Amino acid sequence: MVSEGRRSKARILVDILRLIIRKGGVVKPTHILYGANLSHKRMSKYLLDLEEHGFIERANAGGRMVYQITKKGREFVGEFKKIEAISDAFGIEV
Amino acid sequence: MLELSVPGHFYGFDTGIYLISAIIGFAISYYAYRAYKLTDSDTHKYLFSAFSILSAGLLTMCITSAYSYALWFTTGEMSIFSPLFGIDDIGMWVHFLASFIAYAMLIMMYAPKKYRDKLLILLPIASNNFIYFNVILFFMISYVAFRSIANYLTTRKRNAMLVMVSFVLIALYHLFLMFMPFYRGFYAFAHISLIVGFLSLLYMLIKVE
Repeated sequence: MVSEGRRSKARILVDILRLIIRKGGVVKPTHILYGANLSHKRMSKYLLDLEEHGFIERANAGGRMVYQITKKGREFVGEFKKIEAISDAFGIEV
Repeated sequence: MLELSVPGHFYGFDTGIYLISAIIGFAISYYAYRAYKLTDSDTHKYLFSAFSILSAGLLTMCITSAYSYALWFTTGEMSIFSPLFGIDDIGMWVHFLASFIAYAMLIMMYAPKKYRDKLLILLPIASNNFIYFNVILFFMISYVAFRSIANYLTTRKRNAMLVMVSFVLIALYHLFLMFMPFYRGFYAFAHISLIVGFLSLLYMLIKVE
């Protein structure tokens, strides 16, 4: 579970992507709702954002809709990790 | 200026130091720009702008000092406008002015949001005096160094330590330049501090990659 206190939009998007990676790359929307510590309305907005950027895509798993992370999504997480490390080194928040 | 202040054995080394420092500075600004594009935050915008301006100043200093040395090697003359004010002096003032703007941006990056706008008004007005300018730059970068020390003491991470070392050494660069009129050797110490400071930033970038 991640805290929602004063997180930037980029960090929230990465937190959702990291959650999906931790769950093996595929996750049900309810798991994101609990894991990312967001309201349903905000979660839907961010998921739409991630889909539009091509970081996640919808898939069908046994008749249920799931989200799976894309290659572009994994690359975004890797990029964010570097940016995070440099920002930490300078003592500024991402 | 170069003729008066640079120890003979250091001729040309300073040009190389400015070039390497500028390249490393541009690399930092490139990463900061990527961070800014990703986060759209003011802090990353300040970091990107500060290192871009600082590096542009260092590059100007590199070009003008290289030109002055080339002139000196071919004609034996160091200055082109007058014996007292050469092209390297123009480069130096551009470098100092760029540093002034860059350090102001780094201060804005660390300062609380509500004070950011007021800070520029409080910043001292640059003088045309070499020592006074270095005193101002020393105090400005010292604030940034202080913040980076506080960051390292809080996080105790290697990358934070490398940034701290870098800013402390850049502050020392200005400190040594302040005392250069008393001993020419301080010019070499200043530039060694500058290059080690920027190499510390390069090492941090390599570790992150």
